[in-house]
Amino acid sequence: MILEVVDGRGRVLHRHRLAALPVTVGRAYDCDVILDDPYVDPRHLTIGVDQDAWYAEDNGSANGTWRGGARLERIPIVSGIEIRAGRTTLRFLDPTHPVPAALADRRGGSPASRSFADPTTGLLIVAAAMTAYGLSMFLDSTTSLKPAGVASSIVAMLLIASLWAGAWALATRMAAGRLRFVSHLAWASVFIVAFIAANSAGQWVGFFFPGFRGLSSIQLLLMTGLLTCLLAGHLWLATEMSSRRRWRVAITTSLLALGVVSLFTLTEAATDASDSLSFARVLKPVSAGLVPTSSLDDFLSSTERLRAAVDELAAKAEREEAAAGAKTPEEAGVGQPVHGDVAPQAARR
Amino acid sequence: MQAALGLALLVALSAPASAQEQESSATAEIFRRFADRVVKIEVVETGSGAKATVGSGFVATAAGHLITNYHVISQVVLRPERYRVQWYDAGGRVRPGRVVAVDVVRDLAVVTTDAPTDRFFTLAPVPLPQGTRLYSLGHPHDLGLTIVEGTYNGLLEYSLYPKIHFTGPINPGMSGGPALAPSGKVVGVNVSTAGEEVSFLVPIEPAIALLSRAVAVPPPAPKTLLADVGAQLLENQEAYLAPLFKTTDSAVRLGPFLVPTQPARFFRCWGDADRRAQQLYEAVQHQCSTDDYIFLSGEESSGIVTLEHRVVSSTKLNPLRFYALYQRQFQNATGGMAAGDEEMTAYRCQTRNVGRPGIVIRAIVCFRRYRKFAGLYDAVVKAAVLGARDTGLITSLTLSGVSFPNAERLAKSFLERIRWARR
Repeated sequence: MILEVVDGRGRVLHRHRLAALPVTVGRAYDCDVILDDPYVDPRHLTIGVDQDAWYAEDNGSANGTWRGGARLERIPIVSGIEIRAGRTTLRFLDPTHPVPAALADRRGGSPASRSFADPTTGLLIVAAAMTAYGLSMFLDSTTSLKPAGVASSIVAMLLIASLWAGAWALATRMAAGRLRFVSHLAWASVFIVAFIAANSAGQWVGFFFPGFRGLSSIQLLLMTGLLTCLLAGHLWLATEMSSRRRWRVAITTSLLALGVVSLFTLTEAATDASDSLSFARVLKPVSAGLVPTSSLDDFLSSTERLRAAVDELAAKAEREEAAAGAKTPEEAGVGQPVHGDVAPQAARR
Repeated sequence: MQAALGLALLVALSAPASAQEQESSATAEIFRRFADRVVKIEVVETGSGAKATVGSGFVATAAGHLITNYHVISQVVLRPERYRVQWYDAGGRVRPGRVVAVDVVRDLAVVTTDAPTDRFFTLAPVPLPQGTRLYSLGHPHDLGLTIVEGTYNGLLEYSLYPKIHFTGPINPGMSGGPALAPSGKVVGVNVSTAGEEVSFLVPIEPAIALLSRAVAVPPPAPKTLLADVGAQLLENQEAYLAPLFKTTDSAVRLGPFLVPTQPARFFRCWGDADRRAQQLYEAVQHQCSTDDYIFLSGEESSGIVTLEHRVVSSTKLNPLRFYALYQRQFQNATGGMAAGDEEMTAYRCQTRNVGRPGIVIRAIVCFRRYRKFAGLYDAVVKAAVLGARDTGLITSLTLSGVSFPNAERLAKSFLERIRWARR
């Protein structure tokens, strides 16, 4: 029989092959299995065999020996059973207990050596991304910009990215004992550039093809995809999750984010105010000959669609009003006598 | 000359007591003779019994027909299930009234009462020389019947609908009250003010026409009035939009562009430029707008047409930065007209890159509908000229209360008239 000592977080602290019986378990140094748990008695329990049947026997400990929710004096042991002494779990497994086959190690090396980039390359990537960000800020600016202005916006972006990477580094430290801050920062930087590029690509497509109605959905999906990759990369650096689990967590999180975003967009669409114009506003410096165009007549004849749409909105509003005001005749009935009463009352005054 | 001036001053100084007393006694005489023919009109919310609007009106027939402004009683027309009309007779008693005819374009309405009387105004057109003294009566701010002296200053020149320019203080609450000539004849109906004694009256002719229509036909059902308002708006827009871009074809040159201006005589146009030292671009603007609008409800007006052009150019920005600016100005350019969600649907827009000989524009058309009036829309046409690296034109045409075919026709005329003056 094998005894696994499991800590409060479910991790196996050590394993013992139980051979010379009986085996004493407790905090005292003369025990066969020593438990570092202040809630365990110095000689907490004894494990033995009685006519080929394994058992664990409590030695009258202060906190007792438990199986499930029951405190027991003597617990019969079979393979797979878990008992608790103090705050420590003891798991018993038969030596024939099956274990899964080895994972294929495609990357080679130990998880401890994982990194996205070595520090120099990582910092170069960060520098390149920040330059790209600064350039996009500059190209989007319409007032005179001083270098200090551009620098401060880059620093702000760098700060945000560092906070993000820092959070991941802390998680990595807890899970893998390493920070890998530069790797996280470089990975996040790649995605800053990717998001800027995706956004800009969406604008250009919107400029050339203003009639392309699926654009915003495609862009939203693209952003979700990017977010998934970003998260999966950070998870790879931070944890030793299997690749399947990693992608599952990343996809679930980005879908949740997508859900929240769409919820906001839907609420916005529902409060479709009658004085706001929403249209494809993008303008790009492209030579007139390169812009695909339609003729003025085609453009105007296609506005018939808009008439149908707003007529439908009006009809819908009328239906809703009719449904809400179904009880108005009754109200009017109550209102009518007041109408007649007004004159006599005033006359009395 | 000097002597004459001195004399005039003297006359003015010593003319005093007798003339002034005479004048005020003339006003007092008008008030004494006609005050009992002017009434206070209230619109009451049926559920709470609270008054929603207070205005004035006057008795115009022996059967007790009252004339007032459409804008005084608009709520009753738009929501007959929620509002009703009441009025106060000369004795101060509250009596029920009923709206039987409206002229939404001229802002007039006729209310019937069950109170036959011999104290009423007889309406007939009166020719007046400019400067004639007029007396306007009504209930300013619900403070009690008031008489105001003022001067007749002719008909407005740029107005689409005839309006008398009355120099005298008309205040809210006096709407619908009569303006009388010294003879005691009604010459107009108080309607609006531009502040500082600049006030406007509806001439009496359309009121006479509306009254004769109201007397001739049996009182309509409340819903019919609403349909009538819709029909009047449709008919009116047909008439006033017809000459747009037809009778005149004036264009104005803005930077390198030629753009339409003053689509018809009743438009007023302005221009301005925006050049500042620390600014990296220049903008030149040109706007035209109709002066008149038709009051529909507290939140909704109709019949406004505006044209706006803005040329943006820069020698200091590279093309990408210039287009970031151009795009931002395109977004910010006005266009959406304020309106309540109860009156209007939301806008629906369409954007295309449109090519015409020699020019490519990004064109946008947006429509929304008047919820209560089938066939009436607000339309916004916007465009930005594409293809230049350092200059652009942002332009918009805003139409309120128009039929769909008219909106389409005007959008076409407007967009067709945007050209490069040089390349």
